[in-house]
Amino acid sequence: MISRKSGQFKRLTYAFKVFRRKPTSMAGLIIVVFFTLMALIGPFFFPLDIRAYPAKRYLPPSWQHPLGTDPYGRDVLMQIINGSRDALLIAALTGLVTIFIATVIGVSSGILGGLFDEVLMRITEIFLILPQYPLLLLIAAILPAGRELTLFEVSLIIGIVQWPGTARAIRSQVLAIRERPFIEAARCLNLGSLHIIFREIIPNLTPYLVMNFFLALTGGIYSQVILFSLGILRFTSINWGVMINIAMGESALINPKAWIYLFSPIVCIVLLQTGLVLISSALEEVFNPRLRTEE
Amino acid sequence: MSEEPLLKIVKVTKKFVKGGLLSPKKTVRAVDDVSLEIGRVENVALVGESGCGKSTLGKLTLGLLKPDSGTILFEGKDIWSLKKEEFAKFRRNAQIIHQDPYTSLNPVRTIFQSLAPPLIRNKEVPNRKAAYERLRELLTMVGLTPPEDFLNRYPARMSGGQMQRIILARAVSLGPKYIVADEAVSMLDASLRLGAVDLMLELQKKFGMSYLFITHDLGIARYFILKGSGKVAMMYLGSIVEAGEGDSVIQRPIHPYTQVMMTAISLPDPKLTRNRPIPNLRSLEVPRLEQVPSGCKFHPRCPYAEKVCEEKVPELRSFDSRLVACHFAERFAH
Repeated sequence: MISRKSGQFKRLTYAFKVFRRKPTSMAGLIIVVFFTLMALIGPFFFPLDIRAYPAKRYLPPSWQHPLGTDPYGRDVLMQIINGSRDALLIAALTGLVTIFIATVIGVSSGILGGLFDEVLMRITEIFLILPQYPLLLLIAAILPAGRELTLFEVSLIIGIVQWPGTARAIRSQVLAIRERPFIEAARCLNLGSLHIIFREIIPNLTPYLVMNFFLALTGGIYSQVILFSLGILRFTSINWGVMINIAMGESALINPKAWIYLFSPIVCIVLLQTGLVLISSALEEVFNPRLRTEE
Repeated sequence: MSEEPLLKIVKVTKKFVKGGLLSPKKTVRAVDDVSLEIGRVENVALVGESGCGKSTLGKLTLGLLKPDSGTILFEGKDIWSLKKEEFAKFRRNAQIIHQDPYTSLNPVRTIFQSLAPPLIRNKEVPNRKAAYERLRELLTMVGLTPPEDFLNRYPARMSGGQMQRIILARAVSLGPKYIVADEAVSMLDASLRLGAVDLMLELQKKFGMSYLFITHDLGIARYFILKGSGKVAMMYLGSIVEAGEGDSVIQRPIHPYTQVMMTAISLPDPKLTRNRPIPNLRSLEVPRLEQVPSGCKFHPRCPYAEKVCEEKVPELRSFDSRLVACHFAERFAH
């Protein structure tokens, strides 16, 4: 009998093999795993402490403060570590929201066709035409009405702005897949629309969805950093975007003592984004059985 | 005929509209007023050049496309006015085998994952375990042994010939009465083609279904019909030009188009092939379906065309134990 578990295990070991063969993707994987671990267990070693220590303002890097301190005398490394949790959580939620909306709209549009498709695609185009970041700023500025947003709400806002491009891409994939002979054969075998959509069409989209998920993650990180660093969203805890906001507020660009405080979150963002992009290039091979060489 | 045919195509027309909003609209009559009958456990080879509408006709008979006019009767009932359960039953009874084995199987599902759900959903077997046993039998039947080796494989890890066998097994898995083999063996290597046809005929003996064997290759159609017996229908630009018992149409073709097609079959002896007279076609170009010639559609190319051929559409009439659509059929009778 066929065991699903062993199939999943095989896929994991296979994925690992693919990564081992591609050093750049391996580097990406290491970076992302590093940041994930930092977000998961880092706060236990460097607990968040947002009290101000006026005496410790702008200390240079030292053994006690490896990345120095900020204008309020707080340790920068501690902020980076605690901030990574929000950054990754928002990114992951944004990715899920984006892919969910895009898949629902793209797949239903591609399969139902006709007037439904026309209407959905025109709506999608309207969203595409609106410039993404100003729209994001507008929604984020109007929606909260003075209160602090939860992580999920932030992700939802970013996801709502991000989905249209992905939805169109998914729709075109669905249009291509539904014309393939195996779909016609499935219809003759009386397999039913639900089976055809969820068992025949969507599994073929998986590599595509995963790659787009990683792209959505990078989009989610950029968008949240923009929202927080511009101070559009009120946020009391610490994250990378908020750090940039505070640094800019304290004119870090012209203050030679503050550069390390400004650059720490920026370097983290760049590293994490690079890691995500490097990983996505290896995923195509992991998820596409046609490219699989061994199992 | 006293017995009711399995499938009856009555004056079926299917049009496709190209262009529209910005470009000029063009209507293509892919299938133009076609009538054809397929009996129980009978073979019909549908032969024609590419783009003549033979695949469209095949899909119409499976209910994958809806005809613009005319009716398709399966076991005496119009398939487009069936009730839901009846249509589901028709679906199980009518299967398709496509030309390209590589795109006929879902690439991200294993053979078991692709072949088991139809069996379970259509209540051929009670559960996955029984489906596994049934598929082992089916795969052994199509010569894929040991079957366990193939059931857990992805399509990408099989050869074209093996995949075509899997597709044959899938097509017969629900015990259908009718199978459309749409260029089913054309993509296979020449050395495997006859074996695949033999397998199809062998399965026919076991399951007792009818084949609509669609092909552009009259050679393979001849092999199929002469080995398995059955009818040949020649199609040209959406219309049937000649149809009848296989041996009579193939041995003594009447319609000029069939005659020309017969000379395209390669003979085993290259000397014979080379020295055979080339038919005197007036034009080697196939007219486009958007601009079908007036009168007899074959007249711009026909070596024997006369004035009447340009003006009058020849009727498909009974002549010399077959149906033929040519004004001068008598002239070519043997």
